Amino acid sequence: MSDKTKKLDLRGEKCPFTLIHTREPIEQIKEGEILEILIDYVPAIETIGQLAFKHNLKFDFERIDDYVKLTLRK
Amino acid sequence: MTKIDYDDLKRGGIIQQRDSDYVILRIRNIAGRVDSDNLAKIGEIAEKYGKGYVRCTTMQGIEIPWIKFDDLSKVRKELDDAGILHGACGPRVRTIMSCPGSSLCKYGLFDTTKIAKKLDDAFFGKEKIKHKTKISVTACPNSCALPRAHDIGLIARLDMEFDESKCTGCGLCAEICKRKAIEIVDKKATITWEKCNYCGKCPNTCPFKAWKATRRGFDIYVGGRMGGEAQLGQLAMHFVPETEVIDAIQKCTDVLVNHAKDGERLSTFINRVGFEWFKERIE
Ligand code: SF4
Ligand code: SF4
Ligand code: SF4
Repeated sequence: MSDKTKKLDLRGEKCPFTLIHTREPIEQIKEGEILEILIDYVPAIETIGQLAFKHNLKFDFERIDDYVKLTLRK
Repeated sequence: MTKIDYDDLKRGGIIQQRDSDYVILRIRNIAGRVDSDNLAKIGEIAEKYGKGYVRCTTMQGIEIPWIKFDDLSKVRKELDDAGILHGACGPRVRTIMSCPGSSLCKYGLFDTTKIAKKLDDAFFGKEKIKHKTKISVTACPNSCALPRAHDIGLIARLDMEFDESKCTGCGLCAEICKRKAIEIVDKKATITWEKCNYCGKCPNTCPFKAWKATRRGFDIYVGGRMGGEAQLGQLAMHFVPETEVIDAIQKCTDVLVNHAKDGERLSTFINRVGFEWFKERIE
């Protein structure tokens, strides 16, 4: 299971790097795969949400202290 | 002796420079758009007749300074031949400003550049309006083209419906809402409508499509201005559909034309007659 989970720690990153680092991994998620993103820059959270929306991905969102964990799956 | 073409001068877009041998030529770009061939031509003119530079105006236009009075007719003809539009000055409806709108910006609820073009066709330079009137259109409440700093400002809004059964309580909408209008209560999004400014982010972001867009339209603000007497426009009409925007603006300018004193701008006029008085006449 764990080999199907990809993790991206983007805490401290801001636009446009948040998008540069997430665009391809999000587009490449395959059936059964999970992409976990840690991020603390709110406008980027929104952009990733919109990407998930566009690619019809399942989406979990969890706030942990001063950052959030986004879990995307197909 | 230079021959001066007064009819040409009346078309506007010429500003006397501090040094009276020179003028600034103002070019208007509807919704801030400049096509690349025009941009090249403008550069060429600045190089040939000016001092090799241009200025960008706050009204999304371009100005070419240091044009000699003697060259004026020649330069104006070159601009005309290229289809480049002369700017406006004086007591007229000015170039319509717009934010990039939905074709470029992810927050855009309308293609405001197209709407600006329609408004330009309907209102630009209208002689009947003997007052400086600035109009700006923006595609979401972020208001990047400063609509409330204009005599007439349009701000796009999106209304929505909530389908609780689709909401997983993920919290994304609560996190991204700048107005803090949403809280997650018992694993469901709960909205306080009074705080929502209908920016359209929820329906365009929720990964579970729990928010559904219902209607979209423009809030119209009137009486804003910058300058020494700066003030923000006030909300005169709510959720005007795209198809009714021209009529709505026409109503505002009709009241101005019929009731304002000479030289009175929409802001000064509304301050004198009162906002409620004005609002009654456009309803
Ligand atoms: S006003 Fe809204 S739609 Fe227009 S550019 Fe700004 S953020 Fe984008
Ligand atoms: S983003 Fe959608 S699913 Fe998540 S809490 Fe908001 S409405 Fe519910
Ligand atoms: S539509 Fe309303 S609730 Fe949703 S993000 Fe915009 S202001 Fe907040």
